[in-house]
Amino acid sequence: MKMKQTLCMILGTLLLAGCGGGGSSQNSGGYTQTTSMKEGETYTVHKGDQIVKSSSEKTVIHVTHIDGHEESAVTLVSGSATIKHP
Amino acid sequence: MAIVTLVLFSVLHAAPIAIMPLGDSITFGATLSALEDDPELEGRTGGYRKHLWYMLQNAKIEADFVGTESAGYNIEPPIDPDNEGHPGWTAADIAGWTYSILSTNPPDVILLHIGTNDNSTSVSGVNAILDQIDRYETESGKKIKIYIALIIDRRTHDPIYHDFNKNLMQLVGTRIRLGDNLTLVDMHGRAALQPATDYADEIHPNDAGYYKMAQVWFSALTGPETPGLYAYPYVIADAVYVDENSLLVDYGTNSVQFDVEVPDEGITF
Repeated sequence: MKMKQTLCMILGTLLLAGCGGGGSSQNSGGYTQTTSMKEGETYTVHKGDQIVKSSSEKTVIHVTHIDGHEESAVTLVSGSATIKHP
Repeated sequence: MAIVTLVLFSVLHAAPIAIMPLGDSITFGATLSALEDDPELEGRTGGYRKHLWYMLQNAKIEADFVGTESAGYNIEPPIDPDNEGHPGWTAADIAGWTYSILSTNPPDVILLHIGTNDNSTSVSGVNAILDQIDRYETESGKKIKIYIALIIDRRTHDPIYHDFNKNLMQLVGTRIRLGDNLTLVDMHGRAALQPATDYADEIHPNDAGYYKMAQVWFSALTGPETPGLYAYPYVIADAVYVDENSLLVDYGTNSVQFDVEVPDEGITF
């Protein structure tokens, strides 16, 4: 993937996140909000966020990170995963 | 975000920042292996330290280079010649003296470029140095910021250095994940020394090469405090889960991308 496309994707994802988009969100007990990742979609994760597998199958993510930034862009490559926000 | 680390530090501390250049002959500033023991030349040996000193001065950052070695004391305009560059030393050699070195001249910041003389892909010696720094911090209560370099290659490419650096990325990332205050500085990639123009011999840079090294150290010291792009994958996941073949660093966008398998315990960013 070309770097410019990747960066555009990060910026786009940040905009989506700012508008409340970027994946389905729900409360799942306590103070944790979760987002179910969809294969091929890119999400923004922030410092403290956790990605966990949703099943026992092998799960691979693609991470793009800009030096000095608190957030990273994460794409689900295969398997199933959930983002947990503190 | 530019010039964050040292400027903020210098605002918060009345005293100059104590910076310890730590390593082997490349830190000492040697330009020719055969001349390392010549006292007259020693006075003019500054290596990257000379250029870094000037860069810090120009940026109005008050620094104090510290160490038990002295080289470059006859350079004009004058620099602070103190350092801990030990020609011929391996990482294990440095580890054996680290605690003593730190006790003698406690630094705020360490610039560590070591491994050139190891002739091995193992980073166990570097790990031992970091263990000794941890020990000193625990016993003295002093916190030290460590900038550790992916080492420069020989003039003739040596695959051992490549594998050493790969292991160093994993070591530094893992130690950051476990709480160490480290920044991995890609001296190899960012300085990008050219065999035809930047080396004095097979191992040591010439003045042009040392200038490039100083630029990289200066950028790291004055930039935002980060793990470093090559360490980042191993900060969030153990090396066994990171697909190293997918690892791609782009200095044009200052970014890293990679594939990583999600372990059972998850990945925390």
